[in-house]
Amino acid sequence: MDPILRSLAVYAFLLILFRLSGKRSLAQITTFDLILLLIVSEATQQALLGDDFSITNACIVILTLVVVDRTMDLASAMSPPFGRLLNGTAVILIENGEQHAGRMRRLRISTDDILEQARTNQGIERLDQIKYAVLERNGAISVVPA
Amino acid sequence: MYLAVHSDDSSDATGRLLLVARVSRVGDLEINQDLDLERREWKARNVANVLLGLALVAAALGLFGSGVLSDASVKSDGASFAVEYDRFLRFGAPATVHVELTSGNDEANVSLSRSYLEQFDIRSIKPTPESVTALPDRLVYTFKYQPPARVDFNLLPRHIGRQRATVIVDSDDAATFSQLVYP
Repeated sequence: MDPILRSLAVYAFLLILFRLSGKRSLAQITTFDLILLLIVSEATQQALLGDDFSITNACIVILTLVVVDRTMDLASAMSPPFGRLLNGTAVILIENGEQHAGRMRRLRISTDDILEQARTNQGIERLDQIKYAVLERNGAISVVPA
Repeated sequence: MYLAVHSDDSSDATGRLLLVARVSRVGDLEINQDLDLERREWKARNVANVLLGLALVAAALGLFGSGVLSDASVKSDGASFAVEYDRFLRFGAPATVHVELTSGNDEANVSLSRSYLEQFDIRSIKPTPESVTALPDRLVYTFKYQPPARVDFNLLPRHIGRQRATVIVDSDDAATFSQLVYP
């Protein structure tokens, strides 16, 4: 029971923490974002396994996490409101070339962030070449050229 | 925003109704966005940031162990010894209970309640006791000492929750304290 409870507790904590810290934290924008996620995974591993390094314990932990994750997916599919609460929704940042400054400010996304994604994914040079920019649920910014 | 459709799974004989999101349209973009939810998330995020900051400050101060808020001491009823301990412990993290012997002769019998010791693994005791006697309700450790002297019990919590301890020295002076073990 102990490894199951540990796994559930850590899963719930990480889910709530990253849900509340915003979409961008999962998108690994900077090198340090990636380093932070690596450190989090190291700290999580210690909490999940405790001092039991048996294969059985590892399998129980992995099984618990996979089952919980599948259950969340199923619940999201069966209840779209729950799915939106769990995963959020996409947000339009630029619409027909006009920036939604309030949304960008709340989501802590700058014009530079959008231009970086536009250059990386679409080879776009200027803002006026962007028709739509959307912050997706996974924290990535997708750009539709004009 | 949602519409109910019949399941198109040919193996599904029940003809279940499924709730699927109707895709909205913003200009030329078909997208489901919920700006109300986004605003509520933003407010929740601001509150969460404050709470996380407070939690970090509380952790630094020792609310979750090892710090000013956690350090505690208690004098015995007869003032012949004192116990220094941590109010807050964490499961599996080493903790030390110090018993300060301030009076008495060259041998002391320090006992800890059995109900307390059963919640911990004893990692070490300094100094090494001359002998250990097991009684029904406590373990009695006999030390040679010259006052003032200190005995350290290095323990590893093995159960979470509130743990209460009674320390008795020479069967006639006692001190009690409690600790909270976080998971």
